[in-house]
Amino acid sequence: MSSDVFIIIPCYNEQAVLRETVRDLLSLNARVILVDDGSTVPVQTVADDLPVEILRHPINLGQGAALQTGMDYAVCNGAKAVIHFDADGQHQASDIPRFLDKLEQGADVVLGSRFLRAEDSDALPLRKRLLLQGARLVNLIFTGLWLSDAHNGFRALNQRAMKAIRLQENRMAHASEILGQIRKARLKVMEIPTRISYTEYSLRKGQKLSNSFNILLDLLLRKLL
Amino acid sequence: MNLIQIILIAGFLMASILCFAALKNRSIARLFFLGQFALGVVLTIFPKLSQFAADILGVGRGTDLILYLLVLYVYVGSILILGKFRQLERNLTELARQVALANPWQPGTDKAPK
Repeated sequence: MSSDVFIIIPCYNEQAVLRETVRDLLSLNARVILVDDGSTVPVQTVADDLPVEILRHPINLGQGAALQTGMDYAVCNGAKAVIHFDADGQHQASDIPRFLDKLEQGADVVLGSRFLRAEDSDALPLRKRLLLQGARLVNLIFTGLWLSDAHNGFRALNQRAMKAIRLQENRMAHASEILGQIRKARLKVMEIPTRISYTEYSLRKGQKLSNSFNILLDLLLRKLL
Repeated sequence: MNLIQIILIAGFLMASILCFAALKNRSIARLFFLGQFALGVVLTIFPKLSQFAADILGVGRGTDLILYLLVLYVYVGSILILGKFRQLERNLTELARQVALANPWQPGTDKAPK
């Protein structure tokens, strides 16, 4: 519990897989912060025997808001680095040390990418691969960052990045917003290859094509208003 | 006076009363709406005025002029309300976040996060 690395996991009704996801993380020397984004059944009722810390939004706000709450908590508690991690089990806990290595090497932000190794990108369903290419382009237009992947929720931030980034997009558009802020604050970004395991559960819970339109709309509104 | 004029004027009066009751301490918003209601009453009593304005502006009929203005008004109004929504959402987010941060649950404590 003395670690200054905080792993932030936003959860919204993820009870089914949450325990497994957390169990994989416990071997790491890090503090695990579950941000319960107003789940119907409070996360605390299913996770109170785990060595984790839980913050609960009284109402559902969205993943971006939950990450920001986790980061606020981390900053207040003297975190040196935070990891953004998905609750649904699609990210590999064993990748986290590589993220931290890159921070040590001088990156302010480390982003996981599914397109740096052929075996990772081959694992993606074709439709998803095409959609992500479109999302890369949207990110370039809105944020000016040309990355190999888009909207991969696996990230590491150092203290400088945590202080520079303030997510205001409550829902999924935060993934593009964060890139815009990275660029604006001239943070140093590195990408590392990560494997995403698409279980049936994570695909069902994951982003639908129709939601891409909502994300785009959120981004446009943000530019205009 | 036609029946429709009576209905419209009664409607504008009702709206004015609601506007006074709902927009307490917001003089600018009150003035804005009351100005519109007054214009509505004037145009209802003297419908030819809208035709007069339409002729000046190069619109065929007074009714069309009012319709065009209405379309513009609805769009601008919607955008303003959307902006207000986003601002409210930001405030609500900050509030919920503070509640969450004020009640962290840590291992070894029994207190449930509220």
